Amino acid sequence: MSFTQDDVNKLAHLARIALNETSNEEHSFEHSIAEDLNKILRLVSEISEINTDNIEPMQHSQSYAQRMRPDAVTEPDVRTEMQRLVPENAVAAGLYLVPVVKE
Amino acid sequence: MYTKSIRELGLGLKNKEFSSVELTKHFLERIKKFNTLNALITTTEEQALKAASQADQKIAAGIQEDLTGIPILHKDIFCTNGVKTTCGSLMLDNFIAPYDATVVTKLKDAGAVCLGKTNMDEFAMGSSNENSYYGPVKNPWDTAYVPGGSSGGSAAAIAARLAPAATATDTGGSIRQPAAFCGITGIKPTYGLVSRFGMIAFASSLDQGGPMAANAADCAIMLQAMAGFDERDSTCVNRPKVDYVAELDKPIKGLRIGLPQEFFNDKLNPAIADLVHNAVKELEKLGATVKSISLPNGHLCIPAYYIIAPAECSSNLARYDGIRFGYRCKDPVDLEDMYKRTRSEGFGAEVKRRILIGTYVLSSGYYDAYYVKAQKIRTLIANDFIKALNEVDVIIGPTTPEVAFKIGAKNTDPIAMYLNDIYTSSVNLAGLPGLSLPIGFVNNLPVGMQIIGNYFAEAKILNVAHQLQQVTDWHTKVPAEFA
Repeated sequence: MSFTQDDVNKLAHLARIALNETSNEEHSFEHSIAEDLNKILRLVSEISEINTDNIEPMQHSQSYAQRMRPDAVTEPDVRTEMQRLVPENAVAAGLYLVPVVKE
Repeated sequence: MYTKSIRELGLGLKNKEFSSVELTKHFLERIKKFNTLNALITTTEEQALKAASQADQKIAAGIQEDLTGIPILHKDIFCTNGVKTTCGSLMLDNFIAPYDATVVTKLKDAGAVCLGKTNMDEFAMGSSNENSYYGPVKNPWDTAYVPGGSSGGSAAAIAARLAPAATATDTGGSIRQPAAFCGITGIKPTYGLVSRFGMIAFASSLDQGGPMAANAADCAIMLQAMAGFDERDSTCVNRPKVDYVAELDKPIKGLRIGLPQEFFNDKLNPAIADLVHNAVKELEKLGATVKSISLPNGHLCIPAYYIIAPAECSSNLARYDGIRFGYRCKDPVDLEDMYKRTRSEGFGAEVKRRILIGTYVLSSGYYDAYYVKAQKIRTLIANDFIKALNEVDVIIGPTTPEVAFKIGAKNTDPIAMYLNDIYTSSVNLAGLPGLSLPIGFVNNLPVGMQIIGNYFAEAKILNVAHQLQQVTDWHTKVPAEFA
């Protein structure tokens, strides 16, 4: 497997990252991204040759079960404080404003 | 004052040789004087002086703990209530958290005085601190060189003695590698020892906060305050508190050291190997015994790490959508344009590379071949360590294969940069604690040695490092320009 520009475009769409198609300067992200991803893929593909039959995947180093807690409110209400962080002040009547989704 | 240990500074405060306000001003002046290092993103002078004055009142009232009135720095990945937390990214350039990270709260409660927030690779992704939106940090030992990363600002600040101690985080080596490059001491604790609440997430199953300081004893004092169970972090482990400081002075006679043969291969600079062997000889003089061990799957840590970390990063960083906080692009035409341009403009190149790789390895049809496979390799790597640690008390080796490199030398080749983590990322994958301490110089640049211990054996690792620092003086060296 190696990445073509088409593959990169698909991934970028999935990750919601715009690729600037007009920018192709030598050290720009767009210029080398397909090549960079291929290099990384070659590096990580080494593990495909390793036999891992009967090996359990490790999610966390400590195999502790998730804790349970009583179903009670423990955090203070910080709605106002959180809404002060909204970029470009895009908030009204306690709601987050985004570009029009449907006319 | 700036060459004193935390213990010595505490005595000075107690004996009224200086006040915390004077101490704080002293370090704030050094921060200003040496600002060309670019080690800090934000200086919190006003808050620091206020906290120092409160500490002085406590000390006057006879209430003094180890960190009361001691100035420290926080890596700019820890959320600080009312003070900007950028994570080294344009994405969070305007972000002021409405709460403190648990680590920040704990250090505040212990009486430490925060002087500011340190520079770092964007979202902790990098090994040179060149990936910061705020520009590269310089290595105090030679300002043409990188300080390592991602906690490069914290490491450079300690090396230049801009503060006695700092917080940092380590996902694949981000405490130990910059500690090695800057000639200081830093410990990555066992995964789950230090709360991750309010510590901006990169790869959640690997990220762990820890301290950096000039020496192991100061790291022990910092870790004492930072460690401990936290309801707000579901992966934080609830276990009895350990007294790291009390264990420092234990004799190490009978300590069993394992040297992994795979760490001393042809990728390691032979001059670094010599220094590690010299340091191990010092430990043998103190009564330790040494044997060769094997970590046969250790070399797989780089591929496994560069699957797991990007996968978790692509998921964690999905939250930066320009809607609720952080950066938002100008004049979006629709929602998709807003998401895409916000993320394209707000993130730097390395972050975007990792999000794309992470998106790929988690995508339908590839998940088992990459992500699940890497998690199985992780088990193999951890099993190697567990087996070795049945036979020895600590594993010792180099922290990095080379000393610091020049700014600009590796930042166009992501793979060359990734190989910096070859001796450190396996420790994160296994979830074990690891410490780096200075053991000499090669080409006038510091060399670090790594001490790896069993799960929750931080006290043992700090004890070994402290005992070595009682018979060597590498940890007392300060770069000439900053002495």
